[in-house]
Amino acid sequence: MKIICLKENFTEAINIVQKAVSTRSTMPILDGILIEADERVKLTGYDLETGIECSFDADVIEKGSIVINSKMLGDIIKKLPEEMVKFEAGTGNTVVIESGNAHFSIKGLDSEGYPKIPVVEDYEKIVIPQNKLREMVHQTIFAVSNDESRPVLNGCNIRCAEGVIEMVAIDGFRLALRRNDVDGDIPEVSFIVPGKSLNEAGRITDNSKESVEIYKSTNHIMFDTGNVKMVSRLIAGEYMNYNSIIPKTAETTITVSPEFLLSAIERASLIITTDERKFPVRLMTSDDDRLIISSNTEVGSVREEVPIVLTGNKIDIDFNPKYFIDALKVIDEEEVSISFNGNMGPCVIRPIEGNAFAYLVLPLRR
Amino acid sequence: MFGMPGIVGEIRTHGPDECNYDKVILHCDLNNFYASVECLYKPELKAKPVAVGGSVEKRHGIILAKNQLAKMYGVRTGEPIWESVRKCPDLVIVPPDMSKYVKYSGMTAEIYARYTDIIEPFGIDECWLDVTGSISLLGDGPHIADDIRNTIREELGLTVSVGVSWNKIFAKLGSDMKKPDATTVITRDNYKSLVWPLPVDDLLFVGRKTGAKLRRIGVNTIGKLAALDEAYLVSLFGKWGNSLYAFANGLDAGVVDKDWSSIKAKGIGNSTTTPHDVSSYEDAKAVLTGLSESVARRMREHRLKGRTVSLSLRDNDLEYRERQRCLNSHTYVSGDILDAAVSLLRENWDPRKDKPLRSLGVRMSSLEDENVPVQLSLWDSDPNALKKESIDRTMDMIRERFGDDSVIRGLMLRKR
Repeated sequence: MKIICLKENFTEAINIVQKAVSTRSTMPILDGILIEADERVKLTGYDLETGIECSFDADVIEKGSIVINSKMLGDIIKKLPEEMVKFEAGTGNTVVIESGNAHFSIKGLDSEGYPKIPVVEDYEKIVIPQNKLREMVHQTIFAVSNDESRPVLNGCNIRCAEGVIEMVAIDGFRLALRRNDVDGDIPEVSFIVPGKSLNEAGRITDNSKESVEIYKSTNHIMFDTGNVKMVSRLIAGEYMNYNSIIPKTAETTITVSPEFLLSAIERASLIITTDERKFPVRLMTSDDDRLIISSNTEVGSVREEVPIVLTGNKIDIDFNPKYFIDALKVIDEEEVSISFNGNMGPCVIRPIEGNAFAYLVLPLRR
Repeated sequence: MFGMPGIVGEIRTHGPDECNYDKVILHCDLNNFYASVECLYKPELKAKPVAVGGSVEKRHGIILAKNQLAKMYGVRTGEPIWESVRKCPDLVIVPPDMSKYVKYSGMTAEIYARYTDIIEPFGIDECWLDVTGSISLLGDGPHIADDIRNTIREELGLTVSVGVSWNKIFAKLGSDMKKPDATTVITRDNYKSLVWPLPVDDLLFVGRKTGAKLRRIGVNTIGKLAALDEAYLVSLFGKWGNSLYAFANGLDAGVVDKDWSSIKAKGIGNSTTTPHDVSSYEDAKAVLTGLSESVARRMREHRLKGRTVSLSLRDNDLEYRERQRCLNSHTYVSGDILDAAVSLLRENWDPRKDKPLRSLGVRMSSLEDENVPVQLSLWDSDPNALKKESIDRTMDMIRERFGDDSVIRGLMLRKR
């Protein structure tokens, strides 16, 4: 094979597919990137769990394919002196890379041995704008659990029905839920995407309104943005029935500016220098229009008031500040409603109107 | 630092850009500690063969420690008392008194602290000292070792053997080489002749199982172990193979861990050798109930909760096993600890197939202060957790006022 392409395009594609190249495999071929030249040039990284393909335009002089070590390829292309790159795989799997006065001759591997990314067949198709998917991933993925004893929670649950797509993550101590309306037809499906893969899916999408096509089969999922395709296995099993976890009623409800609350909680946690769980942030109300945010640690103490409108009982509850910060950071609203259920019950952050999101946080017991 | 003699300050190159000084690590091992302390309290024993041993009636009839004279008669630690008496009819047997040993152990710790603050105790009578930072002030490793020996002999009347090397494993081997009251220096120049001929079982953490496995493949000395291919050791032992390879070649980079201080307990545990072999779940559960209660009570006393439960079992063939489990949350409730210990027992011991048990132990680790708030979770947050804690604390108070037997579990009642 022989191609001439732009260094910039090559580097970008390498950066994208490298995310799916295993770093510590026992097979050298899995440490490599598969390069295939046909009409365009296609790069593939696949760690047997997540596979990413990325295509870019190039002058293909001779079609063909080769596998070359991912790190070596990435380092070389990035450091080439000129914008124009000539890439050629000749006999004996030797790869010649030329740019300006630099001339590399590198050992490659036969592409025959490269594993095939699973083909997603008998699929259901969901089409949404890239920026929507990217946003939803960003707004939920932090609540994915790392606890391997409950595998279903190691991913996000994506649920589609009646023109609405929902994405949910739960780690046992909190829940993050996002809803979005989708134009056009969407199938009624529910599946669990591993957190790591979904994170990559968030990265291959951009902030444009261009659509990303999601293909879901029984065991796999593919995200297709046109230039980039990502395939991942799905997590098998039943997800938690999260609707039963989110309380419908509340003993206390406040409305507050998420921006004010976030910066107050961030300030309060500045003096929490050790293990977060050891020192909580305390949320307390003494009257109906102020929320007192305070913290007391071995370093000292901090106290701040934020204006609110309260209905229901007064509160005095301890929380892990991280859980509030993670949720408040991804809320882009002027005002939110936060409901509390005593100092042992779940607290839920919701929009003032509609149901675009719900962030549930469980308190710390004193 | 460059001109220092011996192993001190020697430059070792580990990679093209890296240049490191070797550490200077001491391992101090108090000689015949229990027996020596007993002789301090009863000087008339000093000229006699003395052993510290348990009671014969309760089947704890083994030698825990002996003095130099008893050693010369062939008395060995761990052998039954009757066997020692046969070898040495004049043997004086003293019952163990832990409080004395703890006191003297503390006094030696104070002496060690004069030389460095990086001290890692290893049992009651051994510890590692990292004196790398002290050499410019106090002299090189062997000099500090001799100084420590003299001080302990003069101030406490005890003797200690010290190993000096650049890693913990060889320092420990060194302290075993010359006894009593001696310093052994293992350097990069002499380790091949000093360490490599030793039996492979002498290496720290090489127990009966690993030792036997190594012997089966013809590896009987540390030198032979060092010569093996690392990848081969990994194929035999898994990750443990890497450690074995490093230990034997002096490549162990383990640091002397001063956070391993005796002040802050890493775990709280109790074990017991039962008066009769245990051969049913009910009997075992009764033993575990008692152990869990005493462990939990000690934890409440220290206001610590734990999250990891370990169960140790020794069968009547003296085969030892330990299994552990992580709980969902920290606890010091006796019942929670017992439940975990019992389920570990059921998974790891079957009275119909396995040998009867001779000794059982329960230990809690991953400790933290009882006041650390509990993160509530969506599941298995025990709604009765607070109630259980308050029941246990109430029982502690009743026992304190009216005696240990004033409140007991129903299960224990049946056993009376």
